Amino acid sequence: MPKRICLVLAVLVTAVFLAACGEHGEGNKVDPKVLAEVADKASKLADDLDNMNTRAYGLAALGTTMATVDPAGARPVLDEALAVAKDVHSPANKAALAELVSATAGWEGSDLETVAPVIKRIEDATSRVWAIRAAAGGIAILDKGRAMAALTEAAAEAEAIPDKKYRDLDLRSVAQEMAGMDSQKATAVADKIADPRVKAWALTAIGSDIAGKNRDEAVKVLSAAADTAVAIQNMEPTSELVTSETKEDVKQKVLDAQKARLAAAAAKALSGTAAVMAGIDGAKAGEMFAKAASIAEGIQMSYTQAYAISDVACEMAASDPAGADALAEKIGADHGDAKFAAMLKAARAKAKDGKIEQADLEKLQEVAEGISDSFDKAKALEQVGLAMAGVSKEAAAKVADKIEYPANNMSRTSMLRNEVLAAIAVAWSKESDDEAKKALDKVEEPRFAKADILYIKGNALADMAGIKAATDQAAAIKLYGKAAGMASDCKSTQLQWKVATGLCKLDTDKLFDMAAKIEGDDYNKAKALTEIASDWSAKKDAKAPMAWDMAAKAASAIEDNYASADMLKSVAARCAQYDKAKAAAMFAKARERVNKIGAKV
Amino acid sequence: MSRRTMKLIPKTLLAAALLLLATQAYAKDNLCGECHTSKEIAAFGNVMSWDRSVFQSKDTLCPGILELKKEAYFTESRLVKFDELLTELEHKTRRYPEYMRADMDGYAVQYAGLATVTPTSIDSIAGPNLKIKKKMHEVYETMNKLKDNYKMEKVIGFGLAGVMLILLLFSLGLKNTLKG
Repeated sequence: MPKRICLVLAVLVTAVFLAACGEHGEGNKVDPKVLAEVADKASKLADDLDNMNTRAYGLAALGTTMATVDPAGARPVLDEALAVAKDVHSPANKAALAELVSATAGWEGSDLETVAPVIKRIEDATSRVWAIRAAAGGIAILDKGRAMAALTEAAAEAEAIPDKKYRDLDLRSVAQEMAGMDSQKATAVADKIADPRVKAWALTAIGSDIAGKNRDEAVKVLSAAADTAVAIQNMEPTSELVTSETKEDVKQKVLDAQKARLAAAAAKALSGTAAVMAGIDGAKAGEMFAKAASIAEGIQMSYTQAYAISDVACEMAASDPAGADALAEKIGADHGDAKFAAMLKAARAKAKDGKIEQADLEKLQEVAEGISDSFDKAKALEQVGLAMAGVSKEAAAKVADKIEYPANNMSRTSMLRNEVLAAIAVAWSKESDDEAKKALDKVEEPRFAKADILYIKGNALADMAGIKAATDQAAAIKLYGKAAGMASDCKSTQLQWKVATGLCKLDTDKLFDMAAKIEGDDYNKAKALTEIASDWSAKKDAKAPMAWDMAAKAASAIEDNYASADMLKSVAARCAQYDKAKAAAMFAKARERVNKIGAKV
Repeated sequence: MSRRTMKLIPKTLLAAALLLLATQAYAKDNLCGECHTSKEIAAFGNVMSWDRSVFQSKDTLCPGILELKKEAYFTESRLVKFDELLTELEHKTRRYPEYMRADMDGYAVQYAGLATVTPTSIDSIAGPNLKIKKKMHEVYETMNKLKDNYKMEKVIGFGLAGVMLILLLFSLGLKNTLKG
């Protein structure tokens, strides 16, 4: 009997297993070898095309930087960028795509799922025009006519991009690149954008670009942007969550939420346009802000409404901080984070010499304390504490005490709180060394596991040394020495290079000593050495050329080709201010690295 | 090696190759310059700094900004939360997982360094951040194991105490019986 039960169970389990396999395997009709072959071919092509676009973009970025310092050298780089970008769209690549599409026609199930995303990558690479636009942006610095011709061609191609999202985004960036040369053509390109959110963004950018040159035209474009922004509300709400099987009441709720999000997007876009208009016509900007605020306030969903009002107030802050504050006050106490974001922006706009007024900080503290999410509350209080340190050290200490994240008070002093205490110590260092030391001692060091504390303290000491350097070099060097020790103990190469930068500005003999102690991290090394070399060059120090060579070497040592070229470009751009020949060599090295993108190692 | 195993090897390799291809199906790099002009990129400022809740950033038209804000929120909030969990572990279990805290502190420093990088693409932050997140997750798993071990030791401890009590009562009973 038990044997029979076991047999029945085994048959049942096998049946369930086979049924499951059958369901899963449904649609897998392609020969696995053919599938692997097609997928491999598609993947290689997609990688090659993506690499070509990245290479074209890298060359365009390099050429754009070079155009202002070395126009003759920039020209061939930009030509190459445009040629590579156009090559991605070559008939051969489009034919390869068509071949893949036809080879996979009729595929379904997991077979199709394997190749479809790769084919989409090829389709995007061969249809999108962002790399051409980037190259044309650089060419515009040297030859406006040629740049406009390339952009006009790109705009025509962009219209045919099958992916609607990318079509609009590419048209937007092409229009914006055109704006500086021909605002009417730029507006005509922007008018082809289907999504009003992207269109309003494009028109606002064009308006901002031409505001300084043609006021009337800018007002016209910005008014069109405002109308487009308002029209966002009229978009049909859609959601991936809604299917033919979704219940009517659920569907209504989802679509209502989407409708509210569209209204929020309209308010945000309109206030963005108003912020640009504020620099041209205050009265018109006021009307736009009022309309944006009314759209935001009319939203029924409380969270969406709070964030929409906050977004409008954030945009308003620069031109009308009092109005932004008043608008932020309308946000309910349940949405402290939204209220805080707007009030922080307004307070920063009102700040004098970078210092936020104490009354504003106290108000911000009150709002921050009411934020319900513990992480956002701690971050908001940290922002208040950091700003308060420069205004009132006592008040900043009180804010630090309020940072209780994690909330259960079991954890050792929060990292965010320590950052505020360190900022207080830095503020003290401008007045009294003893008080600064006492303040920094409040950042308690545990016996073990104190890397983060050492990082915060080391950073603060480096900042203190930076302040001291102007008045007492010996004291500054001492502080840098302490900071270097802490940076080394916490194994932060970024901090070590920050300290080295400050120290080498005071004592040029320290560079080799410091560089020998820091292992790896070519990114921060190149950044720091650029700062040092710049400082030495400005002081006409004889060691400056050596520092530039070291910076270029560090940038060349970055493993990733794109990142290395990008860093070499930054080093060269700074170097060009002092030594054009050396900069040209660095630009050439950068071009070499860009051209290695996608090359097999 | 049996014939069946030999047959399985190419199939497994094929499946692995297809899986590898499927994971490469996303666009590479996600450079800021794909959607933004050089002028816009130059005006970005520090996009990694906190100025509003991640929930308020969710409707931004730039997917890159949203992704970077999410990365920052995820790592930073977990760094602080795991610090809390470690302290809780210390207090509740009377264990001192200093080596785990040292690891977490190291990751906090790595993240602080990463937050100073000027992003040129989503991947320039997301790539190194993924390594930090993975290492943090390893600490979290070790922390959970430690918690489970503590629970198990507690159960074993109570079990042993129970057995000892039964034995004691049994011996007392036996003693009384023998006396009688």
